[in-house]
Amino acid sequence: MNISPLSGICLGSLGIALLFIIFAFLRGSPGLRSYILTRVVLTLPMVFILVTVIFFIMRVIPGDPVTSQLGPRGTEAQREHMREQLGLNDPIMVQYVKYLGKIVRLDLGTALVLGNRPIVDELSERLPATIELTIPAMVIAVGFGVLSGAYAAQHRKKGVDYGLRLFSIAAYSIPVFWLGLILQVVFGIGLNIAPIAGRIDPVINIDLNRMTNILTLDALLTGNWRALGSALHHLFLPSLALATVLTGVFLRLSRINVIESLVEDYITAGRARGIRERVLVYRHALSNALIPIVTLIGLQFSVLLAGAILTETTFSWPGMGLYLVERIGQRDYTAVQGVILVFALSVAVISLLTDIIYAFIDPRVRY
Amino acid sequence: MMDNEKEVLVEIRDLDVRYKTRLGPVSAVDDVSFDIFQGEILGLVGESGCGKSTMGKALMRLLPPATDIHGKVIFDGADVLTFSEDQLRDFRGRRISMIFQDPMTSLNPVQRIDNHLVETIQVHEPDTKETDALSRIRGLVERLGIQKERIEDFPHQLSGGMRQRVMISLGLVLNPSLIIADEATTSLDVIVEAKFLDELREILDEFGVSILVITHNIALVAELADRIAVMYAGRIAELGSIYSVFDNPLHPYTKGLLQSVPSIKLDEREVLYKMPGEPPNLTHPPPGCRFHPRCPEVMPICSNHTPSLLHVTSKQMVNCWLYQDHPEKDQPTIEVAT
Amino acid sequence: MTSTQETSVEVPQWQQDLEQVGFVRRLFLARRWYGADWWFVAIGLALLVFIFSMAFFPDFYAPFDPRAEVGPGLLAPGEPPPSFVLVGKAGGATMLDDLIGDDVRIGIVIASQSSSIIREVTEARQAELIAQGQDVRLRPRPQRYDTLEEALEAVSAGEIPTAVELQSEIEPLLENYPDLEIGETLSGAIQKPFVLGTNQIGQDMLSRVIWGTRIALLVAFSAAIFALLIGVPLGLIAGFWSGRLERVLTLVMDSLYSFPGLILAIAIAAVLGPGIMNVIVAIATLYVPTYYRITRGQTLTVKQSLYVEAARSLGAKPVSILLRYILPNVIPSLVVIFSVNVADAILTEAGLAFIGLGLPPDIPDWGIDVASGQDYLRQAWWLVTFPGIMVSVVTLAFSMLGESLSEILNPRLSEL
Ligand SMILES: Nc1ncnc2c1ncn2[C@@H]1O[C@H](COP(=O)(O)OP(=O)(O)O)[C@@H](O)[C@H]1O
Ligand SMILES: [Mg+2]
Repeated sequence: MNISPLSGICLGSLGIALLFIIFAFLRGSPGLRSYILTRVVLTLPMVFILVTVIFFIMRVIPGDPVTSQLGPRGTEAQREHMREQLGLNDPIMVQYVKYLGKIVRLDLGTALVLGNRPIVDELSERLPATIELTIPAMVIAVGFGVLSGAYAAQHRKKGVDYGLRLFSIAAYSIPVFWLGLILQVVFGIGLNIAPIAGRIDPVINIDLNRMTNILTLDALLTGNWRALGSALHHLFLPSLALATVLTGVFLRLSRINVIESLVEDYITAGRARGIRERVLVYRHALSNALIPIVTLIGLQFSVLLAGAILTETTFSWPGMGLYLVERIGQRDYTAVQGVILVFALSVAVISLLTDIIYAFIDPRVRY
Repeated sequence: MMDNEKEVLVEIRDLDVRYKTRLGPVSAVDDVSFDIFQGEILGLVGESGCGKSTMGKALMRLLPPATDIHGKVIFDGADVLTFSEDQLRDFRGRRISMIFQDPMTSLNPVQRIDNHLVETIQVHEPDTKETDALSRIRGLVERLGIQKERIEDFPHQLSGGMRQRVMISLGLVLNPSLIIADEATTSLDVIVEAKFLDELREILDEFGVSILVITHNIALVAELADRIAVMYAGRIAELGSIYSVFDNPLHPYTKGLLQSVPSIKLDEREVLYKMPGEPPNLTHPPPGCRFHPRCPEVMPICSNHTPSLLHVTSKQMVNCWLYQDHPEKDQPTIEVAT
Repeated sequence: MTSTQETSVEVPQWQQDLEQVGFVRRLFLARRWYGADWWFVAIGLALLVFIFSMAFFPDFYAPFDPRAEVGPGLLAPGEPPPSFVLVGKAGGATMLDDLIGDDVRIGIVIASQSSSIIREVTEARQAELIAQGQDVRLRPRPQRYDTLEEALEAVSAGEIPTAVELQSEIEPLLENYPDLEIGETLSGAIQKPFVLGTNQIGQDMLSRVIWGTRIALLVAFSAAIFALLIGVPLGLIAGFWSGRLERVLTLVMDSLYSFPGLILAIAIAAVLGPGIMNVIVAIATLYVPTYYRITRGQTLTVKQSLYVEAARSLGAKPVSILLRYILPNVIPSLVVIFSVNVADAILTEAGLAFIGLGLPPDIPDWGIDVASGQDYLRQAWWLVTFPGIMVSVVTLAFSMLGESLSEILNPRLSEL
């Protein structure tokens, strides 16, 4: 089996995750060990259920991929051929078992359109773009959201608190795709200071030596500052749109958790020892709140994915989200199924990891 | 003044504390005046919800910002209630410190024990280096029976008794003049508690601080304190030296309270006194004496006028119409022989 | 050693008292305590009343049929519709009535809207004339030219009596044709500017945005209600009769819950194909686990406290326990979750429509309007702006309500 870049990345990150879990397992207390064990054992059926649900949603619900792909004009012979090719003539359980077998081998099938390339290969071209968009957005959102959440908590029930809360509700209420379009209208078209589509200037792109396909990283690694500038310029609006929405979510989480920490006895005790309010909020309460906040942020991974799909569509950002939307338009159900599966699995793995990291770093754990 | 051989450390005058809630103000401390002397142990007892913790927090101004506080808390000639934020920060921990009920939740779970101590020192003496602070706490920590190795642990790695010692070392580290111990032993089991109390007495004598012991446990006060203040529904009902109050309780509430404590003699199956009624809801306290609805010796005046805390003997003060004159009062006033 | 009274976890008196206060009074008592939260609820509710009235009576608010092409395309908000004028030889055919007769020709420029204007205006004038009893024919035949200059040339050369074009286009050219003069203004049916402009095919944006409310609320509410009707009973049953089936169900629900919502909806909607019912099903599926989890959790808690009280042994039937003890405990959380879900469903629906899933394309829907407006981003900012504002405002109203209600109803965090 040849290892495609995506399977490489997937296997690599899964390997690191596994190593970490083993490490935590070996270093941890007996309580932590049994926790990790239960958590892992619980994740397996969850992944299995997700894979199954996706399979049956895509197969059993009315709507035949062959007809929708060939359209009404396809001949009966063409249909039959395609059915045979896709294995749709087997009994459903046989199809299901074959499908499971393929997934275990990291084979997501081949695309129905455009040269029938393996979906894994197509995705591995798209993944770096998604990573390039989401990681800066996440970093901005976490930094800004967590700090302003703590600030709101410190000034609870004062004007700033209500202002920040309103901002967080509004940021959540604004559809990210629309925010993206408005940013395009204002900054891209009106002020004309930022490009509104694509990842990099095509002219500059030509002499960028690609290694990871994460353009900013490639530019940094090869010292190509012009390309770095262009990539960052293109990244500006999409990551701003995505970050705004995420900031709202994180602000809320952080505010609530810091408030809950601020009413704990050790804060009153600290106050009774004369510790400054600012230190109490940002050192004591926030450091305690940070652990649940980080876990909750891990759980917000699905918000990030949903946001990424819409943002990529708005900015023609050639990542996995845009891929999904394109293939839905082309009725390429094999590809759609593949992307959704990858999304689902990454959510399961991330939530497993955040839980274990939480358990591992929290000195309070008493499992 | 009777106890004039002792110097007054804190003078509390006409202290009123009113929490604001959406169901209206809660009068948690109402018109309370008393003194705390240098080097004494004063026990503050009462049922839970009668305002003991509120009183303790009011002395350090640890109440929520929206709370109404009136009166005077005079410490070293200055009124704590008029302090600015900066003065208050300096005052807290250095002049008065507080030990809280639950040593588990009163220590920052993600901060090591030594960091707690060093931070407390550095807050008040910003120029102290960490190493100096560490060497300063070493002696204290040893005196309190905490092993040297343990101070690098996180709070959850220590036992309950050990955590409470840490809390005390935090209270003592800046040599304050007064320690407020709010239900400090409630969370310990009985054997640990007894041992702990013995040690506490010794240490306090050694360091020469005064303590305000806040508890709902009368037996504890009997064992530990020099004087006792009995609180009921936000007011002090009776205040006096341990011996006088336990031998000769004057306020009907104190009498009831003492009768409801089982004696040590286990063989006698005495029937414990059960006080009728419930403590009042402090959102709508009863008019007059707040104890009158439950009082076995209630008089007509009790529901109309509020008595005050007055000396009846040199060592005992009581807040009850039985011992006070009033033009509207028909019953004779009881004179207590000194 | 004994104590006067056992102190366990201290619940402040005011919290116990608050438990006794009714739901509605509690909301009003909150007013002094949560200034802005209370106002958030009030503003959210006021907005919702307005939004609902729009959803129920779109006819009352909307000036036009949202599907009708009522004006010229891509008219900016507040911009008056362009006025078309007749141009002819001075003293020649410059008025509409000059064009009466068979086989009159009129010059127009290809791809301008003048031909539809001419048809509209002449039909109206003809009907007027017939009503006055004159039986004349007013049917000028359009003669197409590639440019306005060619048309004017033809008029000037006398090949055709008159031409029609935008006044603003003709005026600058007129000095080249001294023999021509501008005549009657052909005002179409619409003279007033469109408040929010028109889209690329000349539909009124204001009317579309107003009618979109109905679809959005219909989808969001149906989805949230379906989810509630499925999730709550399942949760009650699972919490009450624990067993192997319940464990499997919980595992399935937990898996679905952890699944990214929009992606699941995309999968379902992509498979089901377009249709309002299909979108509702796709979105409802997302929220079933939320209701299931909260109801089951609450049921388990109440069940435990009930065992302590031994209500079961007193002979109460399970169903009456469900209805009497458990349901009332769950309802406050359900109110909050429902409100949050509706907000989320509106966003999800808009997202689905934006990427081309869900609703059939002729429906006046905000998501669809934003998606089609994206193609005209450079010419017409208003096409994406207003539908998006509507999505945001409606979502905001529901979110504000849900968020602040939960802050008010959850006194643990509030009076500190
Ligand atoms: N933060 C607060 N807000 C409102 N009421 C409070 C608050 N803290 C305490 N109370 C009320 O004040 C009264 C006294 O409480 P507290 O001082 O804690 O009593 P104790 O320590 O004697 O048990 C009680 O009725 C309690 O419900
Ligand atoms: Mg207390």
